Amino acid sequence: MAKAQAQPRNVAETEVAVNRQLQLANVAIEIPASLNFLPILCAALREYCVALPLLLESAENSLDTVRPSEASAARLRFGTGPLQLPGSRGSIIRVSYSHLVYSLELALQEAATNIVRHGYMGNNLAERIRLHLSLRPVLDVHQKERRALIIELFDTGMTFDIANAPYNLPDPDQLSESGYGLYLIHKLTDQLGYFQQLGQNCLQMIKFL
Amino acid sequence: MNLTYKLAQSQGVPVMRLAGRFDAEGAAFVKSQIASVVNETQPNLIINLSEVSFIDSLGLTALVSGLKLCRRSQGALKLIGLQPGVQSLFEITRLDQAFDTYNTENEALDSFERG
Repeated sequence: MAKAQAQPRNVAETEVAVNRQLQLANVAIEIPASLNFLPILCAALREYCVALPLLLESAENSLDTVRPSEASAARLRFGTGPLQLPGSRGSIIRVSYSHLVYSLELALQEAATNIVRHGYMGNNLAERIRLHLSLRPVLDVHQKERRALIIELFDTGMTFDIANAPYNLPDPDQLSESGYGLYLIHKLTDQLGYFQQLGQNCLQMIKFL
Repeated sequence: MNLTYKLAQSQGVPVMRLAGRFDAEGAAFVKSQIASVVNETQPNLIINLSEVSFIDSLGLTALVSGLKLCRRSQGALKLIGLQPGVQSLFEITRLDQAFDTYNTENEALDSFERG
């Protein structure tokens, strides 16, 4: 008689189950609309990025269909140098971890600085900026569903649709002293969205993992 | 402010040593410090960034402002010790072409002597 074997769930079911677990890993933090508080937002993002590989690994390990050899093959290294993120179906995503974190922190810093300086016309302790970090599948430009880190900033200042605003890199020979922020936000993220929700502005910055 | 600032002199050249986070908050301060140090009799400046973990676009433009001031005074601004993330900011904005960067203060000082 054939030996009974646990049938692995199919790939699509595994993917759905992993994503469902990851969607629980939401973080929200609110600060006064002041440049002094932006390092708190950035620190939250950095810590979230540090936890990211562990979140992905534990979500996949918790499923009986994940091949243990592949899960344990995902050796994680922090700090400088390449990091291997365990991707879906035991695949390995190779990224330079410190580079990824710096890029995202810079995009967040630039976007939040814009909100304080232009949305609220300067530091305003009576107003708020809320950061929301989450992981979920997002459709890319080819309509392919991909796992993504979503960085959202909510504010109630003046509306400025960063996602559709024109952006150009200032000519480096001109030594411009402005105009880099928007360019960096666009360059350092994979997709941008700008919405109005319940009287708030929402800037959504998406980085595919 | 999450940026610390020290000013020293090395072989007659002012050396600014920054550490921490060089963002919107520190930018205005550094810009004003550069303006108080650089003039036509002292047109050169070295800024050591080896302890700076993060620079945003406003920190970057404070350095651009310093570079222009040194050049107007017939001098030069030299940067030391860009960490990898900071280096990538210079590359993305293509300002790596505009700045002279060195690994150590001695290398930067030597470059002034070779003039």
